[in-house]
Amino acid sequence: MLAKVIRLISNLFRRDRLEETLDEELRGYLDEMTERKVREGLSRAEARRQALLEAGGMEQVKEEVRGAWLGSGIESTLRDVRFAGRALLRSPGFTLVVILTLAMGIGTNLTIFSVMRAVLWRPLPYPSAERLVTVQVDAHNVANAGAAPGEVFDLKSRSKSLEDVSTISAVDANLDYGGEMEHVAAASVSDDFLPLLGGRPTVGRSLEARIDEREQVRNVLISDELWRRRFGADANVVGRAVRINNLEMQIVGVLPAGFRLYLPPSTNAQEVIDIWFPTGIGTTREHRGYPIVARLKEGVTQAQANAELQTIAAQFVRDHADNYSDGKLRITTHVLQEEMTREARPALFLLACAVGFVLLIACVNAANLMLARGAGRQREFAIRRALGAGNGRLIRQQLTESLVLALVSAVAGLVLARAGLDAISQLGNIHLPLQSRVAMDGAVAGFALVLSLVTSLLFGLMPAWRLSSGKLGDPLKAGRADTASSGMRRLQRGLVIVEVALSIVPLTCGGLMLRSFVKLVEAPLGFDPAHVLTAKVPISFRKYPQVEQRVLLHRDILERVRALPGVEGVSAAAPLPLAAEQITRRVGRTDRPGVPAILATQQVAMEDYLKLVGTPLLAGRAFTADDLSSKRPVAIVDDRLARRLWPEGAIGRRLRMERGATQQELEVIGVTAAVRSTRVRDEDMPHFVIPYSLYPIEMSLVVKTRESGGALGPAIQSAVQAAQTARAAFDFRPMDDYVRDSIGDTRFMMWLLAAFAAASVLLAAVGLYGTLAYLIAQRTREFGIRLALGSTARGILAMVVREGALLAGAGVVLGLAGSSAITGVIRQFLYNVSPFDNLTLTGVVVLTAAVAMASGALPAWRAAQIEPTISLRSE
Amino acid sequence: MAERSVELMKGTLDLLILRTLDWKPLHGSAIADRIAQLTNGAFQVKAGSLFPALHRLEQEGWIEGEWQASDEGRRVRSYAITKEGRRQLAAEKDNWAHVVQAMARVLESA
Repeated sequence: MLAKVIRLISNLFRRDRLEETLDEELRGYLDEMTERKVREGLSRAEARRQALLEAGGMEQVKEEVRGAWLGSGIESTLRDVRFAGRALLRSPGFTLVVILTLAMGIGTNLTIFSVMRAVLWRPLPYPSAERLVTVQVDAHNVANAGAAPGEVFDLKSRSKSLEDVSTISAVDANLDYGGEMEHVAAASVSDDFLPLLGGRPTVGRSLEARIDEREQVRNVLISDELWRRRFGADANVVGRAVRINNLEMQIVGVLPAGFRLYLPPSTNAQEVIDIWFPTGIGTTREHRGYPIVARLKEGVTQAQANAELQTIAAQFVRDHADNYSDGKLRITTHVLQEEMTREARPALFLLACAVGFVLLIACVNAANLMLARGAGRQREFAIRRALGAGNGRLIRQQLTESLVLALVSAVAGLVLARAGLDAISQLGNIHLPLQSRVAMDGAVAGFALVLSLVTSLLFGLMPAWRLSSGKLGDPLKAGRADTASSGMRRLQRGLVIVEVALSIVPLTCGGLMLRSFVKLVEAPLGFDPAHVLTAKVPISFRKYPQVEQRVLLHRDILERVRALPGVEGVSAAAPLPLAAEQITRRVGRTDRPGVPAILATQQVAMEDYLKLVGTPLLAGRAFTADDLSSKRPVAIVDDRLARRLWPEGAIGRRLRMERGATQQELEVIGVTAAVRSTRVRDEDMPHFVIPYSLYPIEMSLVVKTRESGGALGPAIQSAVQAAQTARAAFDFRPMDDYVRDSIGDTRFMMWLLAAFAAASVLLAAVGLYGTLAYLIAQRTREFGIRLALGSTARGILAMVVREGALLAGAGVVLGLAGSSAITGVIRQFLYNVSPFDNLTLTGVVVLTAAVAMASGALPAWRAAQIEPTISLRSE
Repeated sequence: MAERSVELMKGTLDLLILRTLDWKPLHGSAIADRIAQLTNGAFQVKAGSLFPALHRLEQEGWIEGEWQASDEGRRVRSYAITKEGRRQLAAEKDNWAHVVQAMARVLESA
């Protein structure tokens, strides 16, 4: 073994000596054979010729022997690579176009791969992350209604298949420390929650188990970030007293740096939580909405866990019949990461398809360019074959060239992908779960390598095989060595058709998304977000325990803000339309108790809110100050709710609103235009507004400003402080922002698909131009003859244009057929646009035709300029 | 015919060369001559097969080439079998015997 390694090394480095030996050995052999023939009576020259003939050519023998040397693979590969590099540098234009083409294909794929890896495949950074599950509770005919505390409590003790059953609720915290008030993200977690996710404090101790929920929270954990920011990373922070939400609390520990919360969006939990409160789990079943996170016990399958949970659910219904009026309760587990990314999956799949198309187009393009270039190199190949290179050797040489091209392109692709990811992060809120984990890492680089290997085969194999299978000597004989065979031309035309067809699919997708996006932007929201600044204004419920006090406090805040310069009007409501957290209620008619309730979003507001945000009142009246002060049970419903419940007219009717197990009756006093509250694209979710005093939750200020009003933040903040809320206002955002966020996912899809569409059109144009130009160059002689025989330049022009139009037309027809197959996938991302939208399809056809014409124009013009005499003489 | 038989014997050319060199060290053409002589001309080993085989065997370490003067006073590269080569020869002989036996059984049974 060792001897072999030594020989391998000496072979690689003492190559020249090896060659000399072989040369001398073979020469000796040939001399000897010649000598023998001379002795048999032949002339020396004839003897030599016969000896050579019998040996089968010295170069061929040498090539065979070289193959037997150890390391010959390495040696010849290196030689191939060097040769490939030289060959590619000889035609820099070709090389550059191929590399740009492939880089575009590979870069787009790497971008989407990076996203998919972070979102779908990279395990969450928690211990045994694959066994983490969320537990979904469907109750009262609402899917994923959230658990009731009593259910969590019982599951914890009864489930044998789950461990660390825990719950979390996202809350806001007001940290008052060192004379500075700061609003931070916080969460209340049951005792198993942090251990479940491996959140072990680096300083201090964990939160202690507490079961009694009435006990006041006194201990908190803080994040490493908050520790550094506010406490100067002081190790003695443990035991320190701070005021949080106006209560004295003690810091018991600090969580590790970079500890992040990755939970489904329905939990509303942010990734970075600065303060962790312990919370007990109650036993009530009166209200629900708590998310459950747990881990499957080792060796327990999801199916087993689901079966067990269904048994437990049946027990719940039996034991607490009062709480499950419809007798139905469904409890199921979902793998955490899948649950988080479920909604993003189809979108990523569609994007992956789109970039797949871009890569295919790039490969077809590169293949076509390779063919065109290869046709010009037939003489070179023929010479090399005559000198002893076998077909396999020639194919290998060409594949090496393809591989070199693909590798360089992959590097360029990595750079492109980096830029692509940066661009994606500039898109704002795009509703992509785990987006913060998107990064380029070793896996992405590995995928780049795989892609370059695959693409080099995709675009290199066919031309290599095609060009190497020519007959020995043919191209050497004729003077017209550079003309491609008609078979080759057919192949190239076919490739162009395929390329145009392939580009139609991403183009259609991009067009449809663009139309959807425009429609979303133009969709009637039911309110006017222009020049409206919003801010959340929490108040201390301890300081203002009575509803009447809170109403007065808010009036005071509004008065103070209204007095600020630059403010045109101000009101308050919660939640704001299109904010992430909405309150949904089951509602119906009081006079029809048997009819199943429908879901609608509920908003609370101060008087003047509807007028301020420009929601048109279609009938009835708005809230009055008296409605609020006297807590009158009234509601203003939107047009959709009114039509569904009272097609005959809603004013004066009575609305039944269910809240958990309780009900409330409200008098309908007004009807507004439809308000989009959950998402812009949700047209069917009805909406209603009730006075703040009926449901006094944390409010958002809505401030109508002159101009943009962005600079008003600090003034509003001090006005709020002056009103003695004992809390800092936070989340200052223009109302436009909520609208922007709401269509962020469509914007994301639209930009990406549009970019991919643009890339594929560009590639198709390059392919079309390149091929037409090449085919025309090949036919210079033919055109010359035609011109000499009386064709006009105009005729030639028409002929070339016809050819281009024919290729593009065939591609378009094929592509439209193909995109009709894929539009089923895109349907769910569209808004008010049919997958067979005429305008989009027409646009696609017109654009493709225009691009085809433009790329055919220059070659056609060149063809028409041919001088018959020159072209005929050129060979 | 000769061309075809060489083609068929490719796998066993190594064995033939090792056997020939086991007798005494020889150079390229002499090895081909010796094989032809031993097989009554059935195997005409050509340069295109002979030299790659010799170099392969040398790379494996089973034979060793050395520049010497031939009987006619020509400078030739003469190959001698090594200790490892002898071991390999024995192993291949065994293997060959098995193949022959097996083939014979198949052919007779038909």
